[in-house]
Parts: sequence; structure tokens; C-alpha cells
Amino acid sequence: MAQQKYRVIQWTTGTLGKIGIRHFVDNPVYDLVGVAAFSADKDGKDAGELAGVAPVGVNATTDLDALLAMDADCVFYTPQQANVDEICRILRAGKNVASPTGYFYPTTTKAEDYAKIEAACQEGGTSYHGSGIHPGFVGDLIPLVLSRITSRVDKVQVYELVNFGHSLAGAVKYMHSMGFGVTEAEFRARPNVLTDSIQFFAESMAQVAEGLGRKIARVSDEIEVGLATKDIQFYDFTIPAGTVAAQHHIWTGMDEDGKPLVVFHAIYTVGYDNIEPVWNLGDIHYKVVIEGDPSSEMLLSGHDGADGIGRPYGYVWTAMAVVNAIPAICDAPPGVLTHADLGLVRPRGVVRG
Amino acid sequence: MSKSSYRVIQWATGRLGKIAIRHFTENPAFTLVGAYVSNPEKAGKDAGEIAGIAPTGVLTTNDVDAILALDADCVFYSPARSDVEVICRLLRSGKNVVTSTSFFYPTDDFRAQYDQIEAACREGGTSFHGGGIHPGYAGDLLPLTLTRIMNRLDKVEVHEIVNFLDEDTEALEHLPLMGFAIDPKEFESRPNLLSGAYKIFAQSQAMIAEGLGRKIDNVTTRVEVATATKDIALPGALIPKGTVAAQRHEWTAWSEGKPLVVFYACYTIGNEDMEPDWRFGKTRYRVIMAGDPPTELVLQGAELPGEHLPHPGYTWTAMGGVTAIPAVCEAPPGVVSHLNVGLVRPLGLVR
Repeated sequence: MAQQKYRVIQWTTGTLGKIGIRHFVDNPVYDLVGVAAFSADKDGKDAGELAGVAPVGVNATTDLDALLAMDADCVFYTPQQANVDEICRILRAGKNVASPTGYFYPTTTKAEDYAKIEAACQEGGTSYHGSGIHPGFVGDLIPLVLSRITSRVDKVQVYELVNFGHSLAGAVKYMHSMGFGVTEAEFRARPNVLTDSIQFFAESMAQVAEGLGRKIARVSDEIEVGLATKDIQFYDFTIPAGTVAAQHHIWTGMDEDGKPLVVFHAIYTVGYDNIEPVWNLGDIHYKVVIEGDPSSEMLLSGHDGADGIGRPYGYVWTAMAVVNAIPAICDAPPGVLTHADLGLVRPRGVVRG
Repeated sequence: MSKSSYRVIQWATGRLGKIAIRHFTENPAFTLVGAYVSNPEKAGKDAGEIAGIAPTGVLTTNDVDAILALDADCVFYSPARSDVEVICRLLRSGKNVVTSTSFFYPTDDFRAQYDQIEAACREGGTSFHGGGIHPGYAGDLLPLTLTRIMNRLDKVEVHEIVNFLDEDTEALEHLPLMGFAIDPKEFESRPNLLSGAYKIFAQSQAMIAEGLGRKIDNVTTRVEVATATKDIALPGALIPKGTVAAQRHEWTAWSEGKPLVVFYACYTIGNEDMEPDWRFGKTRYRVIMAGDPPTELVLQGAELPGEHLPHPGYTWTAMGGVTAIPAVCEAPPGVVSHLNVGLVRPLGLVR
């Protein structure tokens, strides 16, 4: 079978965009034909240079109209925040959109936006799909796959664990904005880094529930904090005794009978010592538990060598969950595509060399 | 669109069959309409009685023609040994067939059987699917699903780890048959339980490779054992010092000169007092995706507070097939694999 190539445009060049560029260059299934940049200093720069690889002969441009006029199959759309009108413009211009930035599964909360996206798809003869590692994979596709070996599902619990103590020194600069090192009262009084996330995770919950033939009627939100029992030094950031050193966000998706059906947990901690209470899930990054008959669980982590620590690869996992679906998105009939629409995606060009 | 309830027949009432009967009875998405037993002495009993639940009103039969004459959407076929002739008769009689044993993905090793099955599907307008836990899930559907988050995949390793101390004591009865508690020289000199199994598992390896656009050229096998460093006493079994206490079977599927999919079957009676000191740990599956980023997924029974249950291997095996029944009934005629059945959304699990 002749290998079909897909012409792709990378939209923005942040962390995910750089991963996209490197993959498109490395994987013979893709031809990188354009790159959208949003700052003057990136305009005209070679995409390879922006992504930290050898020059690829494609220059980033801030001229979005020129990009939309190009002949391309798909846009890997990775801005910090999704802009529904921009997504629709791309779709109407005849380019499929693969996005890790939001719009993961149509729910009534954003019905208007999804209606716009669906209309743009029909107009452009194109398709839209949103995924990522979480939301998009761990909290929606994986529970559905795990349900395949289950006789009865009572509850689905999904845990994301980030232990900044695992050499994530880069996190130091986010410590304060995330609410570490402040009193519990202060932490609870202000918005936190995950306050807005509920809208995205609720889409994953809906995808799981509806995949299992149910509906999520409402989602509740609570936070527990772990306090430092003595001063904790995290690189050059001090977490004073009695202040927030760990956070446990809990979103509970209730079905129409008011029963908790899908529960998402996000646990962020600077470690496991000198914190009360301690939420230690072990050396993993994600855990998906189906309580039922039988109760089963899946643990997902990086597989690393010597020190035995499974590191998270959140950015690469997120980018690839979307990128690997590009051929299937391009080949699908027009419209918004969920995991159920895509079926088992068979990534192309992933085994190479 | 899918039906509200599928009429199913249970073929054979061993461990998998009992699990399926209980599920079909509990789950409103299914209606149990028949049950075949291979042992004539079990015929005429209520299927519920055999499965250890309340009567279902469905009486078992040993009469194949009576089963063939039933009006049913699907047969869950779980005998100890698959019989292609029987599978084909069921398919030709207009019943879809789902199984958790033997046939998972067409390879050259089983080409003749798959040709027969495919022809029977065409004739009966029916579909055939094999799915279980391994083969049929942990070593094929899971790695294919995980490939989704990989930038580059170099090799897939799937480790099936069975620590018999985590199983119910019934499992310990299989130890002698499996070549435990014998001299390692004797182990090497005779066929073991898994000697012929690699061809069955090679179907999973081919499914991964072909799903990702490659071919498996050949499969090589290797087995190593660990011996007890002292007498190890188990409930109802003794592993004498110097005899086989753990085994590691390795099946390597090669593609273009490199190992692409490697399966390990790691069986042990514990994690101490043996040489080499492997320490496989508890019963679970490990799926290791080597490449970028290096990624690992573990599948295991969940230990919930106040709950200790035996490893759910049998339920996983049965349900890996059973949950696909509606999708298989709705599929176009022919052999259906994970590659073309779509994302299966099991019916009636939340109840």
C-alpha cells in the first residue's frame, strides 16, 4: 500500500507546537507545510530552528490568511487557549483541525460553540477532534477501554498525580501562583490553577458516562490540602510549616440518579515527607480505577531506567494523543469526532527505523 | 443501531462459561436463550444452578442440533478446546460467535481455520470475534491503544506476571502440570504448558504489527527457570529445594531484523527463596512501550479498602469477549478483530 502523506500546518510554536514540529519532521507520514507564529520575533524564522532541530525549510509566519490559503490537510492547533472562531475559520478554509486545547467532547455546557464547530465542518467539508493526555486519553479513552474487561461498573475514579519532588525543579516558578506555601484560608479564598479546569474535565466525564450508556447530570468540586508539618525547602522556594504543601482536587460527576459515577482527582505535591495528610499513590502519574465486578486498575507512568522513577511526559503524551489521530481525522466524514467516532486509532509512522 | 437486548447462547459451562451466564442474567442488555454442555450428565439442569445463581429458566442441553435450531444473535463460545467445525456450524446457522479462546487475529499458522471461519461467516451472514485478557486485550488492544501517545515506538514488551500466591488455591492444582516442583533438567527435557502457546500469542503480536503498518517475520522462543533455594511449602503443594519455583517464557516477534513485540510469561510461586532472585512481584500485566517517550502501563486487580479478592483473570478473560458481543452482532459479516470493531462501548455495565 502506498503510504499516503498528510500536509500539516503547525498553529503556534509553544511547548506542544515544538513537539508537533519535531514529530512532523521526523515522521515520513507528514509534510510540514506551514507554521503559524504570533510574535514578530518568530515571523520568518525556520520552523526547525524554533523547535530546536535542524532547519526544515519552512518558515513561521504571522500572516494567518496566507496559511489559510495554503493547500493543507490538517492544522495541529495548539494555542494556550482555544478560540472557537479561529477554529471555525480554519475548518471553513478546508483544513481539518486536531486540537489539545479544549473542546474534547460535546456537552450542553458549550452547545453553542460545538454547533458553530459542527457547522464550520460541514461548510468546509472538514473534521474536528480534540484530545490530549488528560483530558482526552487517561480520563476518557482509558476508562472505556478498561470497562471492556469488566462485568459491572459501579464507579470510575481517575487520579492524576504530580510529585514536583521528582526532579521537577522547573515547577519552582509556579509554586506561588499554584497556591503552595500559603495558608489554607488564603488558598481557599483565591482562584487556583485548576479552578477553570472543571469545564474540560467535565467533557471527559461525559464521554465516559455516555460511552457506558449513562449521562452526567452535574459535577461537584472540592479541594483538600496537605499542610507542611515543618518548613519544607523546595529548591529555592520555602513552604513554611502550616502552609499548603499538597493539594487534592476532587471533581465528582453524578449520574441522573445522583450517584457518583465518574470521579477525577488531581493531586499536586512537593513530596511525601513532612506533609499531613499524605496522598502517596506510589511511583505513577495516572491511575484509573474501575470499582465494580471485578475492581480493576491501570497505572500509567514513564518507564525509566536506573533510578526507578517513572517520570511524567505530559507534554509529549498530550501532543501525540492528538497528532497520532491526524490521519484518521483527515480520512473521516466531516464533523466533530469523538473517540467513539474514531474507533481504534492506528497511528502511522510511529514505528520507524 | 444496536438492539436493547441481545439473545445469547452460552457454549460450555466451565469457569468462563459460568461467569458469562451470571453476566447474561444480570445485564439487561442480554437475554440468555440457551446453554450447551459437553458433559451429557449436566444436560437438563438449569443454567443458573450450574453457574451458582438462582434458576434462569434456561435448561442446558448436550444436543448440538437443538442449539443450532435456536433463534439467537450470538454464541459465547468458551469450551476447553476450540473446534473449528463447531464454530463454523454455529456461524452458518445465523449466529454470530464470540470466543475467549484460540482465535484472535488471522495469522499464517491458522490460515486454513480462518479461511473456513470466514467462509462460514459469509454463508451465515454472521461475524466472528476473539477477545479475552491475554491474548485478546493486554497484549494487543492495550499496546495499540497506548501507541496513541507515543512519538516513536521502538519495541513493545508485554509481561504477564502470575504469582500463584495471589491466586485462589484452586490455581495451585495446576503447578505440577505447569512444570513446577520438578528438576530443571526434567523441565527442559519435556514440553511444558506453554511450549505450544506462542503461536496463539503470536496472533496478538501480528495484530500490533499489522495495526501499525508492519509485518512479523518470525517468532523466536526462550524459557528460563528459577529454582528454590530451600523447600517451599504452599497450601497443598511443596516445591522442594533445587526444583522449579519460577519460569520466564519469552516470545520475541521480529520485524525487519529487530524485535518489535516481545511477550514474557512470568510465573512464580512467590518472590523469595529462589535463584535467580527475579522478584516478579504481584500478579499483573505490564505493557512497556520502548521509544519516545518511554511509557509503561500496569493492569491489575484493584485493592480497595476492606476488599481482598483473588486476581480477576478469569472474569477479565470472559468479559473481554462478552462486552464485544453487541458490536460483533452489528458488524458486517466476517472475522472481526480489534482493528476493525471500533471503540467498543459495553452495554449495561452501569446498573
